[in-house]
Amino acid sequence: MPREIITLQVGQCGNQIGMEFWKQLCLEHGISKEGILEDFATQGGDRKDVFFYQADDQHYIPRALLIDLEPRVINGIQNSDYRNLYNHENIYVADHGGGAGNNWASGYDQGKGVEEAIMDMIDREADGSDSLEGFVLCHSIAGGTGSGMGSYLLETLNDRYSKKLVQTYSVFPNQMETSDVVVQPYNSLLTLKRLTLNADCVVVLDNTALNRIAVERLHLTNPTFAQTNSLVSTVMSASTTTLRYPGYMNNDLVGLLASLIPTPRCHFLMTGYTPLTVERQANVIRKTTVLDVMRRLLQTKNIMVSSYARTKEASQAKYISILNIIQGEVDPTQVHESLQRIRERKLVNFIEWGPASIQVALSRKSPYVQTAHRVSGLMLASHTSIRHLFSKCLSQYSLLRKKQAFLDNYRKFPMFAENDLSEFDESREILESLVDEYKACESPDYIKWGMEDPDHVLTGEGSAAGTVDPKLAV
Amino acid sequence: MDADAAKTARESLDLAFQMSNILDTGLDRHTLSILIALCDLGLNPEALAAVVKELRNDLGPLTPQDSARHVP
Amino acid sequence: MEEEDQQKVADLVKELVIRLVAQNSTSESHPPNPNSPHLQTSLRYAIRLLSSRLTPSVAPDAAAIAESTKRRLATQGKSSQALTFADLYTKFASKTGPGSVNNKWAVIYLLKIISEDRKSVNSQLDSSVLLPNLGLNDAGSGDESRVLGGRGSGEKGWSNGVLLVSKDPENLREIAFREFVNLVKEENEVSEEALVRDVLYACQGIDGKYVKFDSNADGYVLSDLIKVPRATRIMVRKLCELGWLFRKVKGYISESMDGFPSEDVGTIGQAFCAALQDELSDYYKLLAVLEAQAMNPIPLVSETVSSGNYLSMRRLSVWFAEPMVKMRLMAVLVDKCRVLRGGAMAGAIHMHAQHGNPLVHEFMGRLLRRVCSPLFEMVRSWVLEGELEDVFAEFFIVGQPVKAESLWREGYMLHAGMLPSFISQSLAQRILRTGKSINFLRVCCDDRGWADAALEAAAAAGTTTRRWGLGYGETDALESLVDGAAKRVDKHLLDVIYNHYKFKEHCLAIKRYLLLGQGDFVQYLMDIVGPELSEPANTISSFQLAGLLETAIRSSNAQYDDRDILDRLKVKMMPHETGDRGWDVFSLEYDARVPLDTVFTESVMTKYLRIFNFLWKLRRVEHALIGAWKTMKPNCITARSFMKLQNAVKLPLLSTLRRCQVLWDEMNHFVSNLQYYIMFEVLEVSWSDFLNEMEVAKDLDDLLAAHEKYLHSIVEKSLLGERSQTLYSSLFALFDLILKFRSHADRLSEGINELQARTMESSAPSRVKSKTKKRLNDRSSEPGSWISDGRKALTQRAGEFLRNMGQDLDAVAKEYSSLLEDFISKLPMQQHVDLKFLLFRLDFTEFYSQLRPST
Repeated sequence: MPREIITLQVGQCGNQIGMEFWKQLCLEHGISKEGILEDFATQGGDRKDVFFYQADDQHYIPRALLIDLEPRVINGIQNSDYRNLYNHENIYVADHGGGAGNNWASGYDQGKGVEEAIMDMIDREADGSDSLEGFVLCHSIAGGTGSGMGSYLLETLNDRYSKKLVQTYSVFPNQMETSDVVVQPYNSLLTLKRLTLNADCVVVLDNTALNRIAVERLHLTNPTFAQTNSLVSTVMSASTTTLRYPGYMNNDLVGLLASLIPTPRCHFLMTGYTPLTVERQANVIRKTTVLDVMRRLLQTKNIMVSSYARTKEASQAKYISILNIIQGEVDPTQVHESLQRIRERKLVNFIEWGPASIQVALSRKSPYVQTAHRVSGLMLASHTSIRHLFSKCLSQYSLLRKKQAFLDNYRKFPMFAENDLSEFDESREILESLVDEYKACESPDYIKWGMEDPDHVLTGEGSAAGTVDPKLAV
Repeated sequence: MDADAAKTARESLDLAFQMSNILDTGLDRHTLSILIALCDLGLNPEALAAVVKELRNDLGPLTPQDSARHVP
Repeated sequence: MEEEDQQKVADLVKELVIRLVAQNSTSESHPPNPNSPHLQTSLRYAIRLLSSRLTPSVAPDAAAIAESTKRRLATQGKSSQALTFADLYTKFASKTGPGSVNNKWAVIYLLKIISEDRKSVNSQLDSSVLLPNLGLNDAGSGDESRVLGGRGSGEKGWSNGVLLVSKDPENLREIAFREFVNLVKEENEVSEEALVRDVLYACQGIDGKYVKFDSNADGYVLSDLIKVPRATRIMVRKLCELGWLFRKVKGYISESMDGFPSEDVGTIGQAFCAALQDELSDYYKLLAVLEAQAMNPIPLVSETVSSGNYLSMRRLSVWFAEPMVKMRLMAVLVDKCRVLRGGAMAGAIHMHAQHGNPLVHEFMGRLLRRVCSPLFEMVRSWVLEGELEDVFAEFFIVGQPVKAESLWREGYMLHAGMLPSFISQSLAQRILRTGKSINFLRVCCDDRGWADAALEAAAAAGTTTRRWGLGYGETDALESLVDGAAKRVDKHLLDVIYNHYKFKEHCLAIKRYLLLGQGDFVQYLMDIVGPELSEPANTISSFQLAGLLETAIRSSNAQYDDRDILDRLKVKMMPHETGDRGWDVFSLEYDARVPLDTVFTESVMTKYLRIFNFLWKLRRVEHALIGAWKTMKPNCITARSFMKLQNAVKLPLLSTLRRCQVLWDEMNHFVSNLQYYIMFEVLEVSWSDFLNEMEVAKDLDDLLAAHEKYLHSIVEKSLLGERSQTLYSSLFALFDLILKFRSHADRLSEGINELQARTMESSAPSRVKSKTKKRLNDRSSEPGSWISDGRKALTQRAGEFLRNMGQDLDAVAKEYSSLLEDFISKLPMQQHVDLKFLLFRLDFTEFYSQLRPST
């Protein structure tokens, strides 16, 4: 009963970061590009069966589905050294190969069309598991396939596998530069509705922040997708270490997520990682003590979500939960000292409506991957400032929607047929109320929030929060 | 020497010889007579006894003491 | 003196000599040749004797001498001969006049001396002893000056009519004189010489003529009948103390050697006796020499005739000074040791060796070396071979037959009574442990390699390891032998324990399985035995649980563990009472087996069991909370379209849900931080300390202590200690409340699901979506009590349900707050164990400390 996790990588972005994720996992578990266990990989202690299964010939095969509506990225994978790693039956590329044209509605509609084929693949994988823990979806929220088809899959999984966990690694578009995808705000909003309603946990990977980190922290002038993707794979693999290297605690996804997500709707997690390096990048090697690592993880510059909050708002932002996964040779006694220092220096603001603390999980480091740093750390945190990211999405959506721009592309598809744009409105409402809830969490009276004024409950301050200071919405 | 004197002498010698026997001196009559004569000549009887003892035994030089004697 | 007489004497002497020599060589048929060298020598010798300047030592009183002779005969029991003798003497004395003997006294005296001489020869007393310095070959070897001086002093003696026969200057006269004086004195008073002799006898435990053992006085005393000066009597008494002491020592020795059965004496007692015996034989030698000297005149420097014997009493007392000290010591030791045995005896003797007198010290050292030899041999064979060569129970280590698991703790003990004080307590402990280690290796570890270690230790210690090679006073050598052996044997033992018996691996296995360190294993076990354990305890099959345990092992990373380790892991069902559920009786146990059961004793495993039960309960509570979260996980709750609900239902629903979530969060915070505390501050810290101590452990005792400390630290910090009982019961009340909360939460989520289903059904016509249709189809297949009711009734019933739920949750929340308040307030009062870490974690954001003043 390994509590298997099935990974769905949907769309170009999803497959790219998925690819990086599997590369990293293979390295850490000593599995070759062909899926064969390397001779040196005998030290054991790791659990490969959460993410891999073994074929009859002892090949390790990722529990992964590679789905795209256009063949470019998946072809790339199939022509790479890793072509034999995946189960070819688990690869779905649309016959037409035309993609979703960066249109959420197209992706969603095509998803519905191929539901049977894809659900067959998912069912097969699920049947191949002893005790399926859940699904991980890798996708981007801005494009067509990852967002639209991903959304459709989220709804379907929620429906068909309602008892299973659904976690996503969702890449948010870079909002600091003009995107070639002009309908990005529409796609994001529509996807965010599903992420709010149909996912149990969303790990937000903000391309803006990833880019910033690549530039500022890694000193790359023009970070490539490959480089930012390696940041993502680092985060993904680090966030699963406690599942793959079992210890005293945090050995299953549900346990990991439960403590991070005390209120069901606030299930969007930020990540931070330190020390950061990219492949073959000579970086300054820092002193890495547990305290250093834990302190750096609380610094905004290491957080992989951009902060759009104004100073006043930022000061009110609060952590709902924090889990630090510390990897490497760690003396357990240092953990307590570090926590003490952090509290003394008031480096962290927690919610006031309940008890909270920084949870620390110690995890082994893969013996097969040499790193220059003794200790590294990943932070998974639920932080109320994430509402500003959603507000940003809402404001961009509002700008576009006001202009009635590009809506025709959507009207082509049944969901928006006959100019029924209520889906947009409903999505906006839901996102607004999410923003409200995060805001409410910043107050000590969260428990009573939404109870006083029944009419205010779900519409609430959503619209107010939706209008964001134009200065910030650059 | 007159006859009486000779008789007295012989009787004395007899008496002495008898005493000598009682005392188990192991001396014969003749030797005793010599000794009596020497005594009468004034020799120290202790010295005479020593001579008798020494020559009668005629042992060689002293043998070392037998330590066994000391074990009770 | 006339010429004639001189010639007469010479002739007579010559004839006497010839006769005497002839008598001597009776075997020869011919009379000896008068000119034979032998005869000449004898003649010269006789003349030498006779020419000594001798004055008769007795008064020339024939009657007195005869009387003395007669008496002597009478005392010898020859009364008739005495009478005859008296008669003959009377006749002899009556002969007067010519022909009679003039010097009658001389003749009688001569006969008497010769008679006595013969008697002493017959009694095998070598009479020549009396004249040792007058060897036949001594003629002419004398010192001229002394001879001259001697003659001068002898002048006056001649006036008694003793004839100087020769010019020989030897002091023969004195000798003869002395002899004579003694003979006489014996009749009346005791000579010093006789006393010395008697004293010498007494000192050998023999009654002498005058000095005899008097059991009333408990000592050797000089008979009262003997007239001696008081000073002499005292001196005799003093000197005879040695005899008394000797008697005591001798008596002890014979008693020990013959009288007692050997168990009562023991090898150390025997060694003690042998050592005493050796001392005594030195003593005998001394006495023999003294005795010889007692007969031996001192070569005179002065001419004082009364110079006496070489050995006067006074001299004897000087001679006796040293043996007296030794004999006294021996007697004291004999007294002390009479009731002691073995090591106790050695210790008692040692106590007397602490003496400033070098003589005593040296003597005691010699004695102790002998006495301790068997003891040290026992030590040697114990530390090098693990053998208790202690037939007579004399060693300070005693063994008793025990089961293998108790061998280390109970198999061998120090016997304090048998521990001599010259072996320190710490050395004794090391000795005990070394042999114990060997036996432990031999019996429990089935190991033979210790012999090499011991051999190596023996080689390193060198010659001292020969059998009987160690002795008292070589405590340093003993210590280095013991330390050498201990170091090697203990190292070997630890090697065996670590490498062959994989101690560390087993500790780790216990940590992983009994202390739940192997998280994935614990989780699966919890998953699969959970449903079973909810059943009444008496319906649960432990076979089935064993099967489930095996499944959990196979499904988790435990499967990669050593099979030998996994085989030791078993399900243990504790005794149950009616009403117990499986949860109450289920536990895991680990079968440590010989030799590790010396560490993991039953009581140790009981402690592990308690820790397991605590951690298992904690896990169960955590599991329950996670389960509750899962039933209300985000995409189950948030996906519901509550917007379609009327406010009358919606608000109570949201409120109840929020109440439930916030309470869940608080409980989860408590449980997970308790878990973090247990992991970081208790298990890992204790384990890391334990590993460090394991690293430096030098012997099994260290290892046992380290493990004991490890276990104790876990027990105390996990609030399982005696003094944490109230805290522990608060904790369990919290646990039970959380489990109760779980059932409320489940009820709430079921209710919401039903409500959801009903809402969907009622709102389905207004909004048709494929996914909701599908869900509706699923739901409608479930029988629901509300489905048939109308919309209004639904609202009513939902409201009622949520109100009840809300009240229940409020009650739980209230109870929880008070229990937690109670628990947290008790934390700082635990002074024996530092719980600030736990408090720190629980109150990291000062949520509780800010809350408390207001409550």
